[in-house]
Amino acid sequence: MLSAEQLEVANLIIEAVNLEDIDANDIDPQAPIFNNGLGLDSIDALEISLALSKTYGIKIKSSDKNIDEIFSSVAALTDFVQANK
Amino acid sequence: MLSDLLSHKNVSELTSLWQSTPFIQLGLKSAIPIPSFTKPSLTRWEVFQIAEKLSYQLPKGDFSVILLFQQRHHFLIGLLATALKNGRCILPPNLADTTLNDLSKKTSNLYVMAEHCPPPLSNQTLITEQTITLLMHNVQKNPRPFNSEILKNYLQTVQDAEIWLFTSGTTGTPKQVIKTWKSMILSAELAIKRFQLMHPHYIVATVPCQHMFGLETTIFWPLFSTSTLWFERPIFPEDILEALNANVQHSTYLISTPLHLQKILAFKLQWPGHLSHILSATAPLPLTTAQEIEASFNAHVLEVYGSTETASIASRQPTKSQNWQAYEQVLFQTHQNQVSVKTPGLTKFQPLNDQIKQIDDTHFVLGQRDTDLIKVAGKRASLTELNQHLQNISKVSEAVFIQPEDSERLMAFVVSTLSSSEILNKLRQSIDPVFLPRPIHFITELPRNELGKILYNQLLSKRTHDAMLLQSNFQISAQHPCLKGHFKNQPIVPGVVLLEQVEHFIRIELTQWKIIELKQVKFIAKVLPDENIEVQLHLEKLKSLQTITFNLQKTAEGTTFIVATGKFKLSVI
Repeated sequence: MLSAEQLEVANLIIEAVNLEDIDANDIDPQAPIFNNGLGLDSIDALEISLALSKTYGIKIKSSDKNIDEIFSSVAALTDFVQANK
Repeated sequence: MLSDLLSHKNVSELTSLWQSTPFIQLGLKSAIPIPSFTKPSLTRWEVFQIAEKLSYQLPKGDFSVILLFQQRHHFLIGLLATALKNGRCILPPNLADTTLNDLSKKTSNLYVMAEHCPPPLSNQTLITEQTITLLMHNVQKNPRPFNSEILKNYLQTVQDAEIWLFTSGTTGTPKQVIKTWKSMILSAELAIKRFQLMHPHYIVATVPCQHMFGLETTIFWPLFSTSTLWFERPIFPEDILEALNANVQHSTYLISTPLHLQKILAFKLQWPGHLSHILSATAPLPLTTAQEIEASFNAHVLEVYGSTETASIASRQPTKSQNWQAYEQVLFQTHQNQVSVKTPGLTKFQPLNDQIKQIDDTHFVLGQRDTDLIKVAGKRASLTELNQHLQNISKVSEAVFIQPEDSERLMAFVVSTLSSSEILNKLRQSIDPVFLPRPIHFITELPRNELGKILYNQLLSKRTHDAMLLQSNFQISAQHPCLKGHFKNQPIVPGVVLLEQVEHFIRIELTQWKIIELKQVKFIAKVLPDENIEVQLHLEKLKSLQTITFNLQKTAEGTTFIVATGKFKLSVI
C-alpha cells in the first residue's frame, strides 16, 4: 500500500512518462522503477527529473548521491523528494 | 591526423599531444578516494600504459569481452586492452536476458568488463572498474617516458582487432556488424577533418559508448584528434552543466540525440558561453527544435548522418541547409534504387537503410524513410517484427503498433481480453523496453478497408474520439425534491444528485458493465437548478484499468468550465 506521498510521486511518474495504463495504486512502492520494473530508460529518468523540478523545485544530479538508489523504487524516490523539497 | 603526426619527422608535436595534453578529464569527486599523486586527468599515453597492464590479465588469441563500462576511460582502456591481445570486443545492443544468453551461447572464452555482472553472464570471468582504478594509480605513480616507437607498435597491434556492434537492420532482429580498429580509425579521420577536431577542444557526450555514434564520438574521434573528453556520460541537465563547466579553456562540443536535447531544452537553463557546437545524431532533428537549441544554447547545431554499418558519413547544419554534405572520400553508388556507400573505412560498398536523393557528388537529401523501420531513443526496429511479437501473445486477437507523428514513443491498438499490464509483461520478455507501447488502446476491432488493409488514419482518430468518449446532458429542475429546503432562496444542486445522473448515464450506455465504486470525485463549481450540464465519460482506461473518468461541465457567457470530475471503478457483468 502506498503512502499519500508515495502515491503523489507514483502519479508524477505516470504523468511524466505517459504510462497511462498503469494505476498508481497498483505500483509496488518497493519494486524497481527501471529495467524490469516499469521498464523505463534514461530518457524517462530525464522526464521524471523535469517533473520533479517543476513540481518540487528539486534538481537531480547523478553525482549528488547514488542515482541508481534514488530511482531504485517509488519508495526511495519519495524519500529523496521528502528530504530535498 | 594521427597518421600525419606519426610520419612526421619532428616528434615533439606528437609527444606533447600524447604525453602532456589532458585527454580524459576526470571528475574531482569520486566514490573511491584518490591518492595524492593521481592527476585529475589521463593522457593518451597513460591510457595506453594502463591498457597494456590490463591486457596481461587477458588470454592470448581467441577470446571475447562483453564491454559494459559506462565511463569513457574505463571503456576505452577495456577496449584497448582487448585489442592489444587481439580479442574481440562485444558491445551488446541491450542488457535483456535473452540478448545476453544468446551472446554467451554464441561465444566461448568469454570475459565481462562491467561494474556488476548481469545475471545471465554470472558464469564468466568478470573484470571490474576497480581493477582499472588500481592500474591507473600504478601507472600515474610510475610514469614511463613517451616513446613513439612503442606507440607505433601498439597501433600496429590493434589494427585488426574486432569490435562487434549490433543493429536491428531491416528485419528488426539484431544483426551483428563487425568493425576493426583499422576501419574505425579510417572513418574517424574523415569526421576529424569535417568537424575540425585537430585544434584544442573539449567534448561532453550524453550517448553511450556501446552504440556506433557514441563509439565514434567518445572513443575514436577524441583518441585520434586533439580532444579533451569528459569521463562520464551525463544524463541530467545539472550533470551536463557540471561537465561543461569542468573545462572552460576550450571551445566545447556537446554530443547528444534529438530526444535528449528536446528534453534538456525544457529545463530552460543558462548554458555556458564556451559551448560552441552541438552534435546530434540517431534520428532526424526537427528544424524548429534545431532553431530552439541554437537560440537556447547559443551554439551551432550540427546533425550527423550514418549507420552502424557505415559509421558516420555526412553532416549538415539544419538551420542553414537541409542538404547533407558527405565527408570527403565518401563515394555513392545506386543500383536498382538502392544507394550504397563506400568510405576508406569500408572494404566494399555498403547499402544504406534510408532512401537518399543525390544533388551532386557530395550533397544529398534524405528521402522518405521506409515506413516499416522506426526508431525510438536511437534504437531501430521493424514495425512488422514488433507487431509479430504483440500478435503472438495468446488472447491477443488483433494488434498493431503505431508511431504517432507527435511522439517518438510507440502506441499500440489491441483487440484482447487481457489487461495492459498482462500485455506489457509478455512484451517485456521479447522486445527492448524502449519499444513498449505507451499507451495501449483497446478497441473492438481493427478498422480495415475492403482489401483487408488496416486503416491507420481511422485508428489514430480513435485515439481521441469515437468509442473513447460518450457525451450527454441533463438539467435538474427547480422543482426537484432535492432542492426543497436546500439553501433557502439560493438552492444549489447537491453533489449526490449530480453523481446519480452520471451513474444513470453509465448504466444506460455501458450495459456490459456494472459500477463497483466511486474512486474519486471533486466538485469544482456549483450547479444551479435548470442549468444545462454536459456529462462526458472518458473510456480510454475502461478495458485496461476498469476505470472511467467523468467530467461534468457547463457553459456560461461563452466559456465552458468543469463543475465536477471524478472516477468510477467498474467491472464486467
